[in-house]
Amino acid sequence: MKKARKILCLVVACLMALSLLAACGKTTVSEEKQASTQKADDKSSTQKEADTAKPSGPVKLKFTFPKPVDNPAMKEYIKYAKEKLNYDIEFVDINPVAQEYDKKLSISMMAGDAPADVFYYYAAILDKYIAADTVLPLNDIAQKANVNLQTKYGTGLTVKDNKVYGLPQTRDIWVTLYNKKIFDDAGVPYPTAEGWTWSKYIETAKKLTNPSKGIYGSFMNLDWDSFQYMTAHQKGIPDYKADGTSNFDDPAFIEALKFAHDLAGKEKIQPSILTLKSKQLPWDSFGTGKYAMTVNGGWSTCFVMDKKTYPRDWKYGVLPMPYPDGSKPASSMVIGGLAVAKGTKNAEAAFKLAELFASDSFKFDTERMPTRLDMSKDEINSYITTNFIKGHEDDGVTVEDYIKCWFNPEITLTPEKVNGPGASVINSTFISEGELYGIGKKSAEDAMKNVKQKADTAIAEEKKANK
Amino acid sequence: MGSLLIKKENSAAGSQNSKKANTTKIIISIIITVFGILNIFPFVFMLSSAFKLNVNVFEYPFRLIPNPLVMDNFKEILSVQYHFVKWYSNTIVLVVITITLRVLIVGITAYALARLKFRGRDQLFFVFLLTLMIPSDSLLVPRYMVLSYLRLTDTMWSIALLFTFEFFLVFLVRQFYLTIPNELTEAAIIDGCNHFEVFFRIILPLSKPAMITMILFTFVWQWNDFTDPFIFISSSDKQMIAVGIRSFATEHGQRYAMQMAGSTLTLLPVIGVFLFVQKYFIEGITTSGIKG
Amino acid sequence: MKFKNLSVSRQEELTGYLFMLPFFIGFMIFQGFPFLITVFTSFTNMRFITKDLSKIKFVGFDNYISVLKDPDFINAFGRSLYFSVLYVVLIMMISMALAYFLNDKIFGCKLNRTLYFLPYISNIVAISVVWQLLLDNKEGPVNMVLKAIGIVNPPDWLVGNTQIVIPTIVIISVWYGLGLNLVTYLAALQEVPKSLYESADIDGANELQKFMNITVPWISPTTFFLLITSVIASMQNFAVIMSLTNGGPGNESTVLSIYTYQQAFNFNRMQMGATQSVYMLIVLALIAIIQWRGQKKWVHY
Repeated sequence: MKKARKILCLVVACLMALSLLAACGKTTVSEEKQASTQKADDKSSTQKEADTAKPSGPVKLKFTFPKPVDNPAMKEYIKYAKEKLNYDIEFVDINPVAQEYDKKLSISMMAGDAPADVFYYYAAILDKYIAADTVLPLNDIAQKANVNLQTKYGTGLTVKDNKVYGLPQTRDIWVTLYNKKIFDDAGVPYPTAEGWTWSKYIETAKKLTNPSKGIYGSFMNLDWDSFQYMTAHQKGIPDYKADGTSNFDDPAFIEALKFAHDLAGKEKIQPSILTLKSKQLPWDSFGTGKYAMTVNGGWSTCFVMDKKTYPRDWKYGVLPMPYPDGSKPASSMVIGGLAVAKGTKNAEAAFKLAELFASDSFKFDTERMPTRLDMSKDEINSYITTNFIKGHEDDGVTVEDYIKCWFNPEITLTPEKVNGPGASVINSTFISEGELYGIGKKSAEDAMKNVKQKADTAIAEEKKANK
Repeated sequence: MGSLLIKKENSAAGSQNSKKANTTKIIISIIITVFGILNIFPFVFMLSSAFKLNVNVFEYPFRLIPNPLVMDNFKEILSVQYHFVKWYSNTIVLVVITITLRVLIVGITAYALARLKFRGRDQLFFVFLLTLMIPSDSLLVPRYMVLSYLRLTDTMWSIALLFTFEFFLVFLVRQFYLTIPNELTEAAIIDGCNHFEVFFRIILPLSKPAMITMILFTFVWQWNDFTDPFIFISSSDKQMIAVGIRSFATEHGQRYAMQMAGSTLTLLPVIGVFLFVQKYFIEGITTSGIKG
Repeated sequence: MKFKNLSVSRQEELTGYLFMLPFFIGFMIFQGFPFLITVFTSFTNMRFITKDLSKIKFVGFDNYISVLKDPDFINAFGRSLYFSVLYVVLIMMISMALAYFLNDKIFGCKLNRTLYFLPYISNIVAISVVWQLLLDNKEGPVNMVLKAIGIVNPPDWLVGNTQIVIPTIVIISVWYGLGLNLVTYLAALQEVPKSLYESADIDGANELQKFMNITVPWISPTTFFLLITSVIASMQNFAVIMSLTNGGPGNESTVLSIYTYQQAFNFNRMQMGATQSVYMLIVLALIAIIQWRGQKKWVHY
């Protein structure tokens, strides 16, 4: 008996010693981190001292972005930043795929060990990082660096409780891409940007759909969240009511859901969600040349830029996103940006790097448009004509075509995704309920009722947690 | 059918029965082999996709011979922008280290749990078992904290140690040790051997199939493990092959054709190891004779 | 010197601790301690795990109660149980039978062993794509055959409802996980002494009797191992389901492992994820205890 007790004591002692050890470790590490961020925040000369105390070469910064290592734009940008800021910048390659990128980043940041000083975020996700207390607020540093974030980026900034956490780097406005060859073969004239409504889209797509040849008029990833409420957003219906609860009992959302799945079910112009899932049709199916039109984020122009991955014997054309009949032209938009990790040892330098990237990176990227609001019309025009259009000229696409899509003040820009309290639960519920409606296992009314209920629970929960 | 097989011993003139037995054997062989051949499909798909363009991977209907047939996937994988060869060698080093650690540690632990009587043994066993039952994803953040406290993140030791101290294979080897007759070890103890000697002289040589199984699984799991290296290793040049393959992607989606090409190159050693290990399963039959 | 003077059983006990020590220390650091943090999380309001301890509040069993009130959890749990029962029964039966035949009982053993091990090492993406091709609801070969033999409405397999999706995934998972059980059984079969079969032959036992009276009891410790690990494996099926159906259609194949992952990493409810994990642990532990108690009846050491 005695021995048993002894052993038990030993085990318990081991356990306690271990947990003590780890607990100590935790506090010391977080103290260190706090100290370092404080140092960075400090407006006085401590920072300069630190800089002069480090004679050994330039500031070292790590930077991560969900792009593959071989991305030429990324390489050029880093070269540019190195020259301009004279920092030693290392690109940390996590994984280009959004889900994986987010997983690794959030786990390591939660554990207090950010893999990079500056990181890219997807609009819907930064909220999570802020709530987990892993993102550095930028107001003070920006002020010290004499950058007026409001005039430069305005609504593109990610702000919470009056603190700026993220600078916009990508501003993606949705477009319609079409395959000119399919239009030619069917003898249908190319559509025009003026009055490009959804009913016109459907009408055109019907003429092009040819099941015997395996050609569909349209391709959209009906299993994505944004399509479940696309037209409601385009009509400007808000996601939240004034009292903070969700607005998904608005009939416009039922209509939007029906509209999306009717494209396949009633109009038969594109593969249904059942076919998409069963045949695993990938998002880039338009690149196969079997679909006449596709509606997607502006980034999808990478189809036409990358002729190695998508070799083609056809030419493409571009139009704005179709808009609902009876409302003003509207297009979905999504913002992605750059944030500074709280654990950074060099907050000022990290901010400078993030800011430089937010303001200048569009020069190196041919799929995107600038996020800065302080550019003059001439600057924008010269960017499009000298940089951007180069990759598109072969297809006979003109500067005007893209101006109509991306720089047209008459188009109202509406958010691509639900973005606010409980957003991750809401978007995920839209996906599952939308799918059930799409495959005919649930009525649209029941599906939306479920979305509304789950959304309200998630919103209430988040409110409670933030108190 | 079992009854058909044995009658040959009973009846002296069992030629007809043994013929029947042979027919059954043939029929079963055919059924099993037919289903077995179905198992090659994913492999064939992988091989075929490795030579396709990315947009053609999900083509319907499935095309066995790629059109166009391209070598670009392999060329790109082996080009300088990816550390493919480095990932390969990293993984080999990792697997060798883990196997060594495991052979050293798992064997004696399993021996203690199977053969030595000490207080708290069964309770300890059960506590070990419990940790297998919690989803490993919910342990990711705490594990990261521990590893980063020990300054092991971004080294392959993080993976090697996590793997070594997993209970699964200790459990497996313990169950194997239980089947070794007690009399063998008891006799040795009476002859004055200590437990070290018993373990190294008697148990270890007798448990070849168990150790081989353990080595095989260590190899297979570690070779294919994605989550742990992905989360705990950050530097691209320290990364493991399974993670490396998954990095063949763009910000918009996976590049399946390249991943399949990568998998093709990666799978070869695993199949090789399995074929090599196979013969030990057959060898086991002959050695086990001494135990009865 | 002193060690030798101790009694045999005392020596044995000390050796036991000594042998256990290296594993125990490593285990506590890399498995035990993270495990305790997770359990700790389930009693707090931590939506994220952080090192900043100031914001953590203990909420007692609040999370445990609210998880039980969550209909999605109950549904996911039900699906998991359904999945587990099917999976364990199928994989245990198939792997034992297959291992028996592949242990030099049929022609082409060597080839077949490799063939049946192949899925276990294949790329999971390749596996899911191949099955999706085979099971496509309109043009897939499986449904073509079913239509040809006169079934008008063949099932939707992976895009159908729970009654169909889960068994479909179970079959694929069994096929995928078979390699582990098969190899383990094959290794265990090597340990069965040949002399036992020989003496049984002399007694005139038939093949079935030999199987039931010699093989099954002799490999029962391995069966016990595989039973426990298969139950565990049936609950940790995240990768296969994610690549096959992503938890869909709707939530029809969102089993516990998927729902727990969503809670922890997608919905920012780390504490709920941890709580659900603890629930899963309790259920698995109960099953293990029942098996543990029951093993005396059928496991022969």
